[in-house]
Amino acid sequence: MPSDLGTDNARSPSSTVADGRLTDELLVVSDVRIAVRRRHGEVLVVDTANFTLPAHGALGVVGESGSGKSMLSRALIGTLPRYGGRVTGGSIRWQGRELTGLSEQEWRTIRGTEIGYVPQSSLAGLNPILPIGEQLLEAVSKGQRKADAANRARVLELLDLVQIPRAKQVISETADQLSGGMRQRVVIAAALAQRPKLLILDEPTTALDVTVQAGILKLVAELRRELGMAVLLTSHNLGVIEMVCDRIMTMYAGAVIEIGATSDVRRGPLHPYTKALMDSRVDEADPAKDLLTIPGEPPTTGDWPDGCRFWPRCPVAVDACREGGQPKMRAFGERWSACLQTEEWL
Amino acid sequence: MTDPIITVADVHVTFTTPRGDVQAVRGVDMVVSPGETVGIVGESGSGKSTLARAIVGLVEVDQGSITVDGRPVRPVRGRRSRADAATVQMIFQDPYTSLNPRLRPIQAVAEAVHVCQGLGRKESRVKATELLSSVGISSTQSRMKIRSLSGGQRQRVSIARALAAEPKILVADEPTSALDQSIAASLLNLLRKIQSERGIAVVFITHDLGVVRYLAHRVYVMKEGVFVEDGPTAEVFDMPKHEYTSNLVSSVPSIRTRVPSPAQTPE
Amino acid sequence: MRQRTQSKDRKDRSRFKEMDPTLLVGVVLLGLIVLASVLVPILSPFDPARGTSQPMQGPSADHVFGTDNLGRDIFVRVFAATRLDMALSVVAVGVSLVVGTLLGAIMGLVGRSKVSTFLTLVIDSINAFPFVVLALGVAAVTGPSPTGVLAAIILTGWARYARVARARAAVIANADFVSAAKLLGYSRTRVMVRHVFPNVYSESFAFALSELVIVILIIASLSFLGAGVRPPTPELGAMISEGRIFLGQAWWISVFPGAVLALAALSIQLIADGYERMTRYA
Repeated sequence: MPSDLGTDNARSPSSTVADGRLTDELLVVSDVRIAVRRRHGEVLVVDTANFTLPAHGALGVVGESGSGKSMLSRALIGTLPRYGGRVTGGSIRWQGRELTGLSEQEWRTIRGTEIGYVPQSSLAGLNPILPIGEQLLEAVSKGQRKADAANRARVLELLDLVQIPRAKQVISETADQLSGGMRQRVVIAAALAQRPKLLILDEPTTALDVTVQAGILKLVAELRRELGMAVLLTSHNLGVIEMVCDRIMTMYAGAVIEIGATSDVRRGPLHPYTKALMDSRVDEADPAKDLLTIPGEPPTTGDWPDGCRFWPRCPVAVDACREGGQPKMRAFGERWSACLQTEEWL
Repeated sequence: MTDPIITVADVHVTFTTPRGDVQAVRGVDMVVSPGETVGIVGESGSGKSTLARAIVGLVEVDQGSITVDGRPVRPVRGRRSRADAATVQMIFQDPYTSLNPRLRPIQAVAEAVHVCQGLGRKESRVKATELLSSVGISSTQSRMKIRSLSGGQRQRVSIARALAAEPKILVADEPTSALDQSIAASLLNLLRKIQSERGIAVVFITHDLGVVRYLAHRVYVMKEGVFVEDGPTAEVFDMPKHEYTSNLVSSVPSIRTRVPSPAQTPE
Repeated sequence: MRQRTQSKDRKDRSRFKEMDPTLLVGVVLLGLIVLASVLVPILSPFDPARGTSQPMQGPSADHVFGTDNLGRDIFVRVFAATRLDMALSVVAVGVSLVVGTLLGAIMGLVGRSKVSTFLTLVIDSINAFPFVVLALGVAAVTGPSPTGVLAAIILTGWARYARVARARAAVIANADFVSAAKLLGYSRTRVMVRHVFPNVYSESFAFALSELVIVILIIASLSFLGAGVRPPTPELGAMISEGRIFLGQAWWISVFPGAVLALAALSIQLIADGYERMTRYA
């Protein structure tokens, strides 16, 4: 446990921008709020989202249902409108450029070229009828499908990059002829076609078998090193995140509640939710004892309790936790925690 | 050694699909003793779900035999006998299709009590309320429309319904795969509690090695319709003999830790 | 595969607050029309069948919708007609729904058999024809009358419900909760009646609501063409048809029945839409 916990209440994870200091943070997300249209009006699915991502960094976003992590990743590539969502507050700065409020046309210059995206379902990311080669040609030539020699070579290069064997054969096959793992690699290849600086993967391994999962994650980690990209990976599975990301960010009920280096957070989480999540892991549990669980259920989206959203289920909640709004994260060295009691409960 | 309560002998299950015959299960042998938890672990396409359904009689076996509690398993046609219903029940994977959307939990479980235990309407409801409460569903929740219940709560209702038959065996087909980690954890605790309180044998099908290592005394590793390895869980995972098992285990590095990891040691 | 839903509607909010606005508007509108169809013929001093006033009078204080060529008050005729049309539609759709769904559901459950193959043939043949054409054909045989119209619509309509129900029943029969019911030792009857049918009907009901609009219009159309309800019985389609020759001099004879018909159809459509939207998440 870090004994030199100094709290810095003035800072926020995205305050490097506010400081006016030069920063090599690729992505700076400040106080972002995302709302989604539902039957009775708009519902807030994310608020107080604050974090940064440096160039070449790998950030893992952990959260269960209702945490808002998927909406957050969609906000980062501008696909919120498809889900009836929009950013209602805060700012997302990509290399200094403000992303909130961009038109679809402007997003098209960023999506794919600067920020790549790998969706959860590889089937959703691929055209079921077009041969793989054609789809990759599209990705390589920015939708124009120019089948010249340079582009063709690049397609083969990409397939090689994602370690797909028999590339020459695969390019004439269609999505349903490939296994789940191969499909996912193809989708990754397409996302990398324009050499983006950031690759966002939204639950990339949920639909995959364990053995295939391991291969994909290893691939992502290698690609990050080879291509020098930044990676943002969302998952509900801590094990998956640990394999790829050097920094971890926990989300609960639409709020970012902890950020820190993966090894630090694993050794000693600062937020009770992160700790409870880690404690409830089956893969590290002692069969002789009952599993540690979190009582109750996560709150319904938008129906968040007053005060800290986790307090109804928190083992160390005190009166102060029930009042006000969701606490802002505070800095503890290089780490952040939204728990009011961070110093006390540790 | 007590007599096994489930014996699977050289079972083959084939499906006819428009694209031809699919051999989902190609000759497996398995035994389960009363009160023990056996895991069947495999990836997609391994045939584990098909095998599970064959054991309960939802799917017909082409070759080989399955004996449960001394009686051969017959595919469920017409009305299943009360004896069979009281022997083995099943918990399904998808919390959203395993409950009748038109019934409230209390109705669904009371119906099961009425049919399986032969109690009258009033007593069935009382018993049902007890059962639901024992799985963590409050009286208020039991009267809500199931549309209002979460995945974890629905699975609990399914368990209560299955317990109404007072089975000796519970076959659980990936009951936690669709649930959040922390919710899944409480469901697993519940299963363990039920098992130890009632002495039920549990056959747990999953792709999740962590769950199987935690829950099962013995494990069968299934690949493409056959078992490639089996044995006491700890042994199989710590010293796998088959290449496939090795691959599986190495894909999930965290389960190798037999000693509690530093993350759990209090500071 | 994990299902990750952002919002699980776990609170049981009161139905009223959740009512889709479309549904509300439709219900109010229909309610007004139904109210009028019941009250107007009772309260009106005029007889829908006999003409006792000056013919061809435009809308006035006495005759809100004017009078027709035989001196009958159009206002009372229109709502008497609406009552008939609605009653016919409801019966026609109701019977088609119940019979068609029952047959379809049983077929879906039973699977392959000689009877079901034969029935499938019948159903598919009926469904191959455009509804109106077939109804016209049957009406030509049964002769123009309310019962004739009913027969025409029911005999041709049940097949569509059967098709919907069969598909749905086949899907439901494979659902886990049905498997669970079988495993628990429930009798076939119990499984069918308590578990399969209720879940088949809920979808068919939504379908029936949307069909109601078509049926009302078809009844009117058949009568308009002379193959349905014939004058002097007040019927909206028949009234529109009767007023055709007078369109230049006395437009109100055709227009008001037409307008009320359109409004009635619209209100039911709104209800069907709203209901579908509301039950989409169920």
